[in-house]
Amino acid sequence: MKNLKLKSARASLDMSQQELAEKVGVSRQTISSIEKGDYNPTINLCISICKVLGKTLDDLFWNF
Amino acid sequence: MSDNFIQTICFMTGFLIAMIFVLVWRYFTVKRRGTKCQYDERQVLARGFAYRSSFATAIIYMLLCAMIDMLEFRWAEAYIQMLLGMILSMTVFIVVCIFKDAYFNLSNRRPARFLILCLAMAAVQAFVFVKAILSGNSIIKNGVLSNIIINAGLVVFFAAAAAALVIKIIIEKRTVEE
Repeated sequence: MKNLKLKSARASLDMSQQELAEKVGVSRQTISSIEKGDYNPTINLCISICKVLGKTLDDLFWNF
Repeated sequence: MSDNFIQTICFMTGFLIAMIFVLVWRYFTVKRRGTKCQYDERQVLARGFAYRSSFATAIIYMLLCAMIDMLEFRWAEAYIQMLLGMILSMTVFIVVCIFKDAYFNLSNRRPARFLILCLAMAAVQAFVFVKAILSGNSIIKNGVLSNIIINAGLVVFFAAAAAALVIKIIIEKRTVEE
C-alpha cells in the first residue's frame, strides 16, 4: 500500500526524496520504496523520518 | 617442473598480489580517509537476499558438478570447475545487488566509474581469451574444457555486471521521482 501521507508531508516541506534521504541517512531509493509501499521501514527509520518532517508516527505511519 | 605446477604458482602469486593490493587499498580508503562502507537497512536486507541467491547458486552448481562427476562424465579439470562456480555465484551476487540498489554504499555512489572498470576488465579478459585462441590454444583440450574458459567466464562476469548496471541506470532515470 502506498504511503501517501509520507509523500504529502515531504512535498509540503518542498523537500525532494534525495534531500529527505540525506537528512535521514539512507539512499533515495529507500525513501522511494517506503512511499511506494515496497519496503516496511524499521521503527528507528520511521522515527528519524518523523523527526526530519516534524510529524508523529501516527501522522505518517498509522493507517496510511 | 610441469606446466601445471608453473601455472599453479603463477595463479597463487597473482592471487596473493591481488590480496595485498586489496588490503593496502582498504587501509588507505577505510582507515586513513574513514570512508567505511555504509548501507542503509533496506540495502542490508537486499544484500542478504543477494548472498542467499549466490549461496543457492553455488550449492546447485556444486550438486550438478557432483552428479555429472558421478556419471563419470569429465567436462573440465576440478580447479576449472571450482573457479567457474565461483565466477557464477559472484555474477549472481553482483547482478542481484545492482538490481536491488544495494551494490553502492551510501558514501560511494559512483556507478559510472564502476561501469568503466567493468568494461575495461571485460575487454582485458576478452583480449587474453582471443589472444590465446589465436596463438593456437583451444577451448577444448584432451576432451575437456581448457583453462582459457576461465577468461571467457570472466568476460561474461564483467559484461553481466556492466549490463546490469546500464539497465539499472536506465530504470532509475525512468522512475526518478516525479
